[in-house]
Amino acid sequence: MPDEINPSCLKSESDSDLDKQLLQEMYRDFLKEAEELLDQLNLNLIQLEDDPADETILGDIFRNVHTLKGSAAFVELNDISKIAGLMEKKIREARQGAFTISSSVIEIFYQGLDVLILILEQSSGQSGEKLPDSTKSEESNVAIASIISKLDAIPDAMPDISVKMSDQQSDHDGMSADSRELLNIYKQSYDQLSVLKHIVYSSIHLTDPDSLATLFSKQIEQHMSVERNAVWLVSRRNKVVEIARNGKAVATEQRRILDVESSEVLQRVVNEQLVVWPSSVPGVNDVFPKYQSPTLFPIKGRKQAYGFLILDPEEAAEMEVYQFIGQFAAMMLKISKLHQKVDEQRAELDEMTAILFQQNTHLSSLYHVELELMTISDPIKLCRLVTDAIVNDLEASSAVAFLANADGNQVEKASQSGRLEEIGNLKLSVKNDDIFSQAFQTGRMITCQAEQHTLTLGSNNLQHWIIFPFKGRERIHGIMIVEAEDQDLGDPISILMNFSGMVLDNLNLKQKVSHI
Amino acid sequence: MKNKILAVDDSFSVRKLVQFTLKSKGFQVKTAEDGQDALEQMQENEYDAIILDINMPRLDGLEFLKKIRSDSTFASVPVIMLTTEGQEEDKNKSLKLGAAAYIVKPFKPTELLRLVEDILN
Repeated sequence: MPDEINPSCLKSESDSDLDKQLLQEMYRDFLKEAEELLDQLNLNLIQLEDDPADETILGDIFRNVHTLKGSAAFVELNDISKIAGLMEKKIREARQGAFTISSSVIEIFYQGLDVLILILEQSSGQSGEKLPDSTKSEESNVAIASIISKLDAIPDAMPDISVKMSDQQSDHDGMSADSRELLNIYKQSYDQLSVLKHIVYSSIHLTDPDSLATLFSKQIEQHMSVERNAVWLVSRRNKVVEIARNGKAVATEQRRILDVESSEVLQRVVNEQLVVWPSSVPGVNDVFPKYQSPTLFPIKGRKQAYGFLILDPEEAAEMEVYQFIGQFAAMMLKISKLHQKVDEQRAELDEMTAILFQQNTHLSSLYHVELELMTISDPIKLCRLVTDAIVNDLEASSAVAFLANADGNQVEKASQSGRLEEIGNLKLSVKNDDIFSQAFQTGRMITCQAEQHTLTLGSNNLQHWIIFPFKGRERIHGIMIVEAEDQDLGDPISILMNFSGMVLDNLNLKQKVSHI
Repeated sequence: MKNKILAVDDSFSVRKLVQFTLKSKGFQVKTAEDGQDALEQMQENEYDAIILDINMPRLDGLEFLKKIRSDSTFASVPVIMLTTEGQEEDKNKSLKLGAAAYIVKPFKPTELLRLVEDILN
């Protein structure tokens, strides 16, 4: 029967309690997983824009939403499961050739991604626990209903606006030159706006600077009339690194790195945060020889630019747009830095909270033990109380207490709790240079991490152990040997041992007084 | 004797759920991220049962099942398939390929426990 083998993990409960407990534990894992899956989905959607028929990307997206659908269902986030399920269905249909993926389809998937993120954010409380469905906002209910019907409708009723625009143009061949020019200007601004909207949309979920740089380069490459472009970011020690070129990330070992101080061009754009082009600073062509008319737009930061975009623009008319992209890139980079900080701090906070919580549990159980210790008059009984507390309250595997004889050259077992084989009235000499003697003589705690070896106690061999002294004001009263995998137990046990040492001092004193 | 079980799923959270569920009743559980990973783990350790997802990257559950069934060393290890609702075809295929049982996601952890205990007895 497997039940008898490892009873320590979970105490016996009814099925539904066990289910509830296990699924609650899963929820935290799910959050972590969902965050990773959605980041990946975002990246895959960006890749898909480049090549909407790429079977590898479609396969990745399919598995991604399939996994999300499955694991969300376990933790009863049914809206997530449903939306992911619909995405999975649509990708399957597209792969089977039912329709081709247009930019409008990708757009709906981006919207779906937004809704998934919204649901995730609203479904957890402050400490990451799952909130009941009733706390869902009206806004998210509307967003969920809307995205479900949009996904459902794919591929029907999908106007592709960009196609329509060009159709219109050809229809109006007969119109006057003025109107045609007006229409062209209108179309250009429309295109520019849609590019900007696109950049905003697709970058909103990215939080690492390299992916952001690549995305910006890709969007400029695809949607703007520039011959070539690159995104450079400032790294440490005042150097700039070419992160992305012509829509692709530059491999780490192939990245061009320049010293900001090495040229006036770089100082202008990075330190002074000014737009630089050949007639403003003549040296630009020497620094970027592959560009005909290299124009550098700073990604503005507080003291210094985060980096710059470099373009070979055909016409000066789009300058404002490029500047705007630079500003937007700066904003996204700031956000990404904040994200990183928040993530780091959140992880640290989680860790601290867990430690505090555990210490608090330990301390509150020790409080009762200490109260009992104050009323005790027999050292052996004290040892029994302490070994029991270490095993039952602090959940160490075993504890064995030894008290010293009057001469202080030997300790004898006083009590024993936990899983170890009974060791009888084992006596240990504490005048040697072994580990027991060391703990007894120095009055310091010794852990198995410091002394990597097995400890032998009677017929027992201990792998994970800690030895504590019973430390009084003037003498060491004995030692405590604890078997515990969790070496963090050192702190609470030390507190208990120090307190016990003082109680033993008092018992000794009382004995002396009664003799007199 | 502690029964050793290999849980194979590309979902991190489902993998952990299966692991914790079985560990709560004293089973020893190792995990693998996909079929390929599972094949490698099986070279190193012997397992008394395998819990197997279907849709996974690199080597999916059905391909994995085919591979181990044709290898005399592993041919008799009982396999429980994790299937998704509505995918009847997968269930039939896996049973034909020699899976001992299947359980449909999302399942209750204790349902899985009962199934594993049944199969191992």
